[in-house]
Amino acid sequence: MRYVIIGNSAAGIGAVEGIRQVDKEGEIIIISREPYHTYSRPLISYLIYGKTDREKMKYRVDGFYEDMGCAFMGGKAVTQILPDKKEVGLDDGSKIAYDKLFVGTGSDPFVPPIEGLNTVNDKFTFMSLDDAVSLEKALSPEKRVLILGAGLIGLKCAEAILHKVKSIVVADLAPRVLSSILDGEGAGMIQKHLENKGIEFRLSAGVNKFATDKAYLSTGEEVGFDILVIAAGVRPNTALLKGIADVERGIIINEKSETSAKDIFSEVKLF
Amino acid sequence: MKKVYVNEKWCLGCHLCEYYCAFAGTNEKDMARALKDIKINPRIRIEEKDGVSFAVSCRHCDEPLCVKGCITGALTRKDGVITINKDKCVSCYTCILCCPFGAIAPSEQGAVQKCELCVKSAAGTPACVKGCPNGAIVFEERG
Amino acid sequence: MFDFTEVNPMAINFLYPNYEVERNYDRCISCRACERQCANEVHEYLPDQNKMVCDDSKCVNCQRCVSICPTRALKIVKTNNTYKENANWTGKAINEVYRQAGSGGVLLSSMGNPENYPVYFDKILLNASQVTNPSIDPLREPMETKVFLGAKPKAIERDARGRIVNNLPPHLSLSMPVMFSAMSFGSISYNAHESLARAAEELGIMYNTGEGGLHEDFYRYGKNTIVQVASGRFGVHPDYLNSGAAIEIKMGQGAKPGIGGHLPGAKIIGDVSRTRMIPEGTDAISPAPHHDIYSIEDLRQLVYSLKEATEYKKPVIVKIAAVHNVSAIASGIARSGADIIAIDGFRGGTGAAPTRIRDHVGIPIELALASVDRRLREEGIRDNVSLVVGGSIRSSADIVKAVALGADCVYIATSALLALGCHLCGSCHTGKCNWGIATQNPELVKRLNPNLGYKRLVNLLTAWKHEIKEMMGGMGINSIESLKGNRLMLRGVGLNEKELEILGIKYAGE
Repeated sequence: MRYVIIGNSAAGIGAVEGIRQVDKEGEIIIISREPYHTYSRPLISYLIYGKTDREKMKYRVDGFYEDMGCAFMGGKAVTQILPDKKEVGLDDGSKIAYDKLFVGTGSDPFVPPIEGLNTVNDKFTFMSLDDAVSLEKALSPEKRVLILGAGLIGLKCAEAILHKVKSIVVADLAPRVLSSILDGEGAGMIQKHLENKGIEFRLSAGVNKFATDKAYLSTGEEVGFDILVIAAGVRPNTALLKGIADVERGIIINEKSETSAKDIFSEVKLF
Repeated sequence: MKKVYVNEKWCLGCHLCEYYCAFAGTNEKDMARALKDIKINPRIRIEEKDGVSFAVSCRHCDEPLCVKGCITGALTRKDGVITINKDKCVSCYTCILCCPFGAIAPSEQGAVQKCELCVKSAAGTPACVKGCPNGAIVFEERG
Repeated sequence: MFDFTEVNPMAINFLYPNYEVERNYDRCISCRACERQCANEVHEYLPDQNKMVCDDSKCVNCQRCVSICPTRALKIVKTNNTYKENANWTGKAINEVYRQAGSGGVLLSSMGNPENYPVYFDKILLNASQVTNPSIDPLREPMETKVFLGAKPKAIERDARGRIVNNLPPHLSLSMPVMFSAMSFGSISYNAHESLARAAEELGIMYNTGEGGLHEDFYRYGKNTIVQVASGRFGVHPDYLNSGAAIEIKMGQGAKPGIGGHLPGAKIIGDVSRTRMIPEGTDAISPAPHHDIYSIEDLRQLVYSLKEATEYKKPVIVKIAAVHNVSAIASGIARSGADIIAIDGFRGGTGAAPTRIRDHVGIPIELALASVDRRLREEGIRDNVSLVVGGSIRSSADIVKAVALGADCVYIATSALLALGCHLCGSCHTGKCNWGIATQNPELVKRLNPNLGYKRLVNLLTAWKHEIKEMMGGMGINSIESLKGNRLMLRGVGLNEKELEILGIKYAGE
């Protein structure tokens, strides 16, 4: 029995541990787009902040793959799934056969198609370790930062970089921060706390247009910045299963984590 | 694996288990010196209502929700004991929200804390078991 | 009966607290265990000062807080507020007058007589073998502590073919000459009874239900139970009589000879009421005489009624208090068909008794035992009965001396309660026993965990058994039978001619 797992974060690792609770013998291959040992994505903000380091960020101990008896293929992206042949195709052209396939590809940041975005030089998303490393390189005490999105990712980013930059402005279409999580009263408490720390907010404001160092908000205000962080939401990676299994905004699974395609499984998507 | 079990029939709500737990967490030999003028933050806590009292500590669940929820991998199972790696913990408190027993709590040292069956403490075998005056807390295997 | 007309104006404190709580603030960590564990609300935590304080006036010196304090920060000391020294009008005598002037009531006390009367056990010394006759090493040679209680046949009977006929009446078989004495369910708690029953079973001895009846949960310990029939006849029904290994008729009790017992209605609730077979809230009054026993013939009648009801399968014990003419009474009982006589000396404990009766009525068990044993021997009826004595047996040495003075077995009660945690504070009659023994309050009863309690009893008696063997071995004796009535093994010190004569022992050096 060969299990192939796409994805090296919480879902993929959870899949490995779940399989090994029941099947100690079967072969497991875990394929990851990123080359790194499994790490905790939520900790990238703590990394910039200084509360953790590259070593402590590891989601499981160094010997994890070996202890679990699974082969780790890092730095390879899966480009296609061939369910009739029960194979996956990688970006280097090679093919890996599977008996059971787990798709733990998570999501990627949504970059809204705003006019002039391509003229901005220092723009970053904030999802992966590489994002955090390159963002940190760009920070310095005289920089002004504009963060698009007052959700969890945008605010954790703000928390992480505040002490390293001159100013932060966070803009969001919604009328309150953390709009998908908190009500008005709760959001108000968080916003006040962050404002006391020195973070500025522009709520109920979208960006109509970008210039290289300026954002033209829907409210009419112009906000100057040196660094732009786009934290405007994520989109689940459903591309690989398009046409193969049922997808809507995310991959549809039942309570056994089965997709509608035979022998293909995935993890829960939350909205 | 042996775990700490509490029988509410004999629990007197005297709270001494809390103090012995706190004492075991220090490196002192004398309890008076260790706990004088200190507000204790023990890993076992008495809950009481309507004449029933009961000491609550980590159940070292077979399916630990705290471990599943931990974003850093600081919570793991080692030799059967659910243990916290204090260096990895970033105090996100997800585990505190997950635990159905309320057995994890913040600590003064930054990371979170919970009962680890005294494997790391000065006591060796669980201090709450030894300190209970009425035999309400036992350390045994229950299949 | 107890008439209280309070004449105690708040302005004058006639009674300064006898005991003061001393707290070492260097060691106190304000854990509040003392506050939580004191049923008399002596200790209190002041949050704004982060400090523990106490109200000595409520302290009964039960030592619960002292024992439970994890840092040993507490002790109870006798107050040093003293009246002018007076060997006749002691502080105690003065205070008792104040109390009665205030309350108009009869003084009540719990546990045994604490007054300064002679303790004869402490004036008797044991022999040891040396040179002329060898001692026996109990670790290497068999030592018999087993005893059988009951009437012994006068002679061996043989049938027509010369074989021995079994004419042995029913006996109690004990692994050692000790039994737990009567303490009623109601005066002590369910958990205390469970501890006693389980310990008796493990040790191979008996415990006694007292006059409160037998709770149905304890019928399973029946073969280690003596069921008592007292003057109130509480809980007496055929199943009850048949469930035990023996039946004891309580004619008297060492702590309160001549009077009956009184358990207030407030304690007659739930299980206590059911087991006694009286309605909740009614006072449980045991009258002084059994109202169907007014002569020795009446006693004989009751003995045989009980034997009839139990098909002559169980020995009958008659328990009396040690009073002045105890030997004459014992002689009558030995002829009444009873199998065992239990004598309770004036030091015996109680849940509640009028103080003056407890402290001034009755005689010491040592003297009572010696005179009863001699009288029965002189009359040739010593074998009609076994003798069990109680009334402050405090150690294995007391047991050995009692057996040497003529006892077949001893009854212990106070020492058993001490093993369970009692600290002899003597406030049993308040019902607020902090150790879960002499109370029915569920919050307090919880404190006596029978899983721990019964082990302590087993420990105590196992230790005593070893000590008895050591002492016997030292004397060159290897069985209780050889020790029984063996007054040559005893010598007196500090006793006058009369005392030596009554005890039937020689003076040390003779």
